[in-house]
Amino acid sequence: MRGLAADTYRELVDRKLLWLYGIVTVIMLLSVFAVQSTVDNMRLADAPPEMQEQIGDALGQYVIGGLYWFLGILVFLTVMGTAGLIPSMFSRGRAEFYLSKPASRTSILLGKLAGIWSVYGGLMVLAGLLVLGTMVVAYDLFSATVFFVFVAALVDLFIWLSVTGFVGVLSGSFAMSIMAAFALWIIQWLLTFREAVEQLVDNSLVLRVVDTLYYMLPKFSQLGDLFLAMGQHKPVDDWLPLWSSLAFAVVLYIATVWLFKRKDY
Amino acid sequence: MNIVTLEQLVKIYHTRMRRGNITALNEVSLDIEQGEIFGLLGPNGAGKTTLMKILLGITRPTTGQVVVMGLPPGDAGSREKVGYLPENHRFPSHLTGMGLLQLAGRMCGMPTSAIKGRAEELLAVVGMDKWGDTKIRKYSKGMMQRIGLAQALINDPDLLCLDEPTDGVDPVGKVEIRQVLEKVRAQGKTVLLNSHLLSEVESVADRVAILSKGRVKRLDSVSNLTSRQLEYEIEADVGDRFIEIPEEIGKQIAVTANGMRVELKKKEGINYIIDELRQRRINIYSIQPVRLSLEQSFFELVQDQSTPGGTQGTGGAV
Ligand SMILES: Nc1ncnc2c1ncn2[C@@H]1O[C@H](COP(=O)(O)OP(=O)(O)O)[C@@H](O)[C@H]1O
Ligand SMILES: [Mg+2]
Repeated sequence: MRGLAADTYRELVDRKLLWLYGIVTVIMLLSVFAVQSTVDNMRLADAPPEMQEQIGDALGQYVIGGLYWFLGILVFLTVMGTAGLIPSMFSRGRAEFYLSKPASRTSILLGKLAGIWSVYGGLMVLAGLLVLGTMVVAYDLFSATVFFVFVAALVDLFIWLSVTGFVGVLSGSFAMSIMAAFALWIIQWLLTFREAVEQLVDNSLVLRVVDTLYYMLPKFSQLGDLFLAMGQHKPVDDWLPLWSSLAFAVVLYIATVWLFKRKDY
Repeated sequence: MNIVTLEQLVKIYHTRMRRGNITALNEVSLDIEQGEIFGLLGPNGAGKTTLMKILLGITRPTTGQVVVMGLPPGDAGSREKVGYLPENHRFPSHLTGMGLLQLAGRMCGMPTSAIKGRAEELLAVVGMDKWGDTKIRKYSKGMMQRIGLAQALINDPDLLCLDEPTDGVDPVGKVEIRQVLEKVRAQGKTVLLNSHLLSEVESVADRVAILSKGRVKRLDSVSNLTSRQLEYEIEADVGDRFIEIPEEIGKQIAVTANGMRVELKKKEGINYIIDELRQRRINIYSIQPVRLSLEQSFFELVQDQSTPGGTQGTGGAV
């Protein structure tokens, strides 16, 4: 849908949220410099070459880990900051403006969601690149696989938007969208302890519910570990977290469009 | 050619609260023809906004047929050449007036090169050329209506739907909005105008549907709606004389400052009156059919149909 990405960009520029991104990024940049001397000290100048290499690898993993952590905070900020956008766009008096234009509801909704994903995702990537660039200059380290961390953040945002978008269309309420996002985050976090639960409980119904939830819901923690492993050159043996999380999002997007096409505004 | 056709349109809102279901539109059938200004008139809650939103595909009908520009409203193509000014709108407040027009133009699929020029032209048409770069959230109610009208016109629509367009607009603005409507009509475009303000509809509309509680009470031209059958105001030197009129012709119902008012059984009866007056050598200056203002006509309609005591408030809401 033409115009909606630009509209989302203008909306972003108009918001105070941009300052929050700025503050978080500045804090991150300051901490990059703060540990610079520590990093320099770790590089034992007179160590043998093999050891130099090992130290370099270890530092590289720290860099990727730090960047991953930073982008995780940005994803959190973005999910909270964008949860209200769909309810606001289709609130009373405003929905009429967008829906009276000669575009199908599907393209209006998906256009806005794509606009949010690309504009806010782009902002995260930009902040991440700034931090990465600073790290590269400050520590004199670089590995191309670091970009898996960026992919992870964009995939995370894609999945989260399916949740806040769905609840936003269903309820039309900003508060409900935020609450749903929180609830999902907590549930999926609890589900990471599923194996412990399975050892403690032997009620088959509970186990089945836990298992079903685990396979159905997105698995953000494992998804993060998976991308981090790729970033750190480690082997990935279980792709389930990736494809089941993506499937969850796609099903939710389809349900959202279905719902949206039938709603009265 | 019909721009809009409604047949047996019913809209029932299902509410979660205990009020139950609300029948906002009840078997509404009407046509809007190309080139006319069609007024939809009715008290608050009559269903005017619901009807307009159904035409635009924003709300779905419960049952009935709706055709706009030859297509069902669910088809985005039916809105290709339609403009809409919603009631109580809250346009995206992060945009400037110019930004709103540009977004509207893009969503209408206009070529980017054409949008800016068209937007500037429209800002001038609605008298907002100095305010294009100001954020919408700083606009007054009247300015919001003006920018709303401009965005409705961005794609040069063949059908312009306006829901309470003069709401919150000062008298000068009202006149200007009316001038814009006349201009649009002069270009052969069709206008659907929702209003609870009778005088406004009266001054611009060709035909009017009076809607009350979801039903069309009457659909007619403004002149027919406002002419009171067979009542005439005669300007003559009658003084305070009472003129004898046989019962089969009609009766004199009032003596007025300049003459008198009569009510006739048949149109031809006017000749009898003229003969009578001339025989008495009374000078006649003019004879005019008595017109109601649309307001009176509307009050009478709504009151006629309301059950005694039950819905007096409906008329009062106008
Ligand atoms: N979204 C809605 N949900 C439930 N009832 C509604 C909704 N919109 C309108 N109504 C009801 O439908 C009736 C017609 O409303 P509306 O079309 O806004 O009338 P008007 O524009 O003539 O004032 C009113 O009784 C109103 O309360
Ligand atoms: Mg209304």
